[in-house]
Amino acid sequence: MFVQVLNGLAFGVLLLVLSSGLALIFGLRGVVNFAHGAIYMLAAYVGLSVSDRTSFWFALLTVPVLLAGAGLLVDRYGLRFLVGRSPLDMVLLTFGITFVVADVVQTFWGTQARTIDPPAVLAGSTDLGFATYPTYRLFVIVMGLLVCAGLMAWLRFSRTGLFVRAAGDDRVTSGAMGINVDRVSATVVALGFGLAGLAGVLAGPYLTLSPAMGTEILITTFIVVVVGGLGSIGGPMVAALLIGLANSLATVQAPTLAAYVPYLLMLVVLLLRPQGIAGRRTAL
Amino acid sequence: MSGTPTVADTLRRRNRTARWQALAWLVLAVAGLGAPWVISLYQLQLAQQAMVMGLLALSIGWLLRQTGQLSFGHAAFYGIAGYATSYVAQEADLPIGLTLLAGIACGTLAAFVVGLVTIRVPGIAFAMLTLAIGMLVWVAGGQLHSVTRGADGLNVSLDGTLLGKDVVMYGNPVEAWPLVWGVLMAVVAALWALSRTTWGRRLASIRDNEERMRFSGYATYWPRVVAFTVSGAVAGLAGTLNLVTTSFISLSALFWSTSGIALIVAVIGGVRSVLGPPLGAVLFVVLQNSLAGSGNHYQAVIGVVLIVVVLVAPGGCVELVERAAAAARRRLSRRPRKEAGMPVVPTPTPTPDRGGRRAAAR
Repeated sequence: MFVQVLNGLAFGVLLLVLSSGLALIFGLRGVVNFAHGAIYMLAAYVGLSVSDRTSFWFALLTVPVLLAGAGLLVDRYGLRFLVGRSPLDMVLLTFGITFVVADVVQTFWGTQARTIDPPAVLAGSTDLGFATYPTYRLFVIVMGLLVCAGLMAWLRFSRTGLFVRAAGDDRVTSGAMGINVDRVSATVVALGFGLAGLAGVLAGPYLTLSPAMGTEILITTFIVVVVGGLGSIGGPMVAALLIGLANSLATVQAPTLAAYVPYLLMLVVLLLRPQGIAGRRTAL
Repeated sequence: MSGTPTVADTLRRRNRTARWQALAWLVLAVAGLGAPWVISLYQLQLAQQAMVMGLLALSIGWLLRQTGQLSFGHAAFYGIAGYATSYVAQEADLPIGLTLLAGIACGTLAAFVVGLVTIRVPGIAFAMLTLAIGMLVWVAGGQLHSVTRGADGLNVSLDGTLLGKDVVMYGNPVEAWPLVWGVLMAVVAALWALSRTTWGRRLASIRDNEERMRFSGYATYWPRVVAFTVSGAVAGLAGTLNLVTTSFISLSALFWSTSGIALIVAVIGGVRSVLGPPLGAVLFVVLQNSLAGSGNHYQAVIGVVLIVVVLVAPGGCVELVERAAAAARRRLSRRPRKEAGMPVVPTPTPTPDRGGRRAAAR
């Protein structure tokens, strides 16, 4: 039972990292990043190649930075042209990126399933007193929670975090108050892509790598964000842990129903609160 | 030609363009029937594929055009209609027409149920939600292996006589072409007419400002549910048509990329016009076919084309054609631009000539 909870926590934390990136980009840019899953997948494959040649730790450091750079490019040469146009155009743009990335991954890495080897320190399992548990998953849990706590603290207490929240609420007024909105949004998109990249590398040794992994997790991440409420950061965090736990418990208790659990949770929440757990109606 | 154009002017002008559009469409519809005599059998097969995909793209494009809602879940209705048709054909001994109708009805019903839930969800969350529900149906399809046979797919043998021909004959593109083309053109006409009704205009108003419509006392929930259902019915029609012409369905019909590609096709073609999505489907099939030899990078190419279209011409190819036509017209006309830009419509103020004619008619 404890092991199941831990499993749920590990998956939930992975969703947490991914969905906070998605929620961040949506909150400020008003973009639902359909490329989020593809970026996550790309990061996992690049992480595979980098950690094969150097080490896992090096991949964990560099790959998110690399993808954050890609985020800057996407913002500068794509999303920025679409400011003031229908938000659906931005969805379509990121959707186009998904197809390009899927093709790139299939061309360079093929279609068969792969895994990243965890570093030696994290390879075995740890005795927690009540159970032994794979060390790598513990690492994922700790790492993910730290990153999310850092993100929350950054948004809450720092000056740039304040700018990000302000520009998300009202672009024009923030600009008039002297915030460089373009720079802030470039930062946010880069950060969101970087978080997707981090999640991809973290997932490498834990889940298997396949060309379908991006879509699979994108759907779950969307469910997390819709359930949590678009336009909030805290809501998706709660929802991510909830769905992670529900998923893992259902896998044991009712295996045939497990695949439906996130969807059912989503339907229940939406029927009761169409704007999600912590969403604001006006945010859209 | 004095003063600003009145509302009556604008409406008359719009009706006149509409008449021209209707005529052009009629010519196209009739001319299209001649395709088997002009192009080779292989090309005809590709064209038929494009038309079925165009029908699915049309359903998504029309929804986007009319309600501003981006659906990633239409593969569900497409696939459900296909599977339902094959299931009814195997289990019940109905005439073929009823079998096909039952299949389409299942797709439509699914769209209605999905619409009831998703329409409540605001704006962009709708796109995410339809994607999630589409994948839910895909997961369910995978688990109902006894009905769907999973990724292996089902070979469906339909029997009976449809429109004076044995259904099996529709496996041949030459025989199937009039049916596929006719259905597509009929749906194009129906959707075009539907968007010109009061109801269609009201939908567009809800798209532009839902809150204002609600405060003006119009229902905004049900019209959109109905629009979603209509769109789902067209997707279901596409699914059943696909089954009739290929006699095969597999789980990939339900997969999200079916909706995704259809959406891309609709956007590339242009969703502002009803004919845009089928046009996009033709371009897609041509592109896919010409790239088939070169390592099959059509995914990347399609993605790049989509990105460029979104950035450069949000109205899709239809907009590009319109722009080119306008530029050509400007270059060709010797008249100064000021005059060329004026609306050439009769003013409502009675001129002596008009008054005289009206008097004579009485």
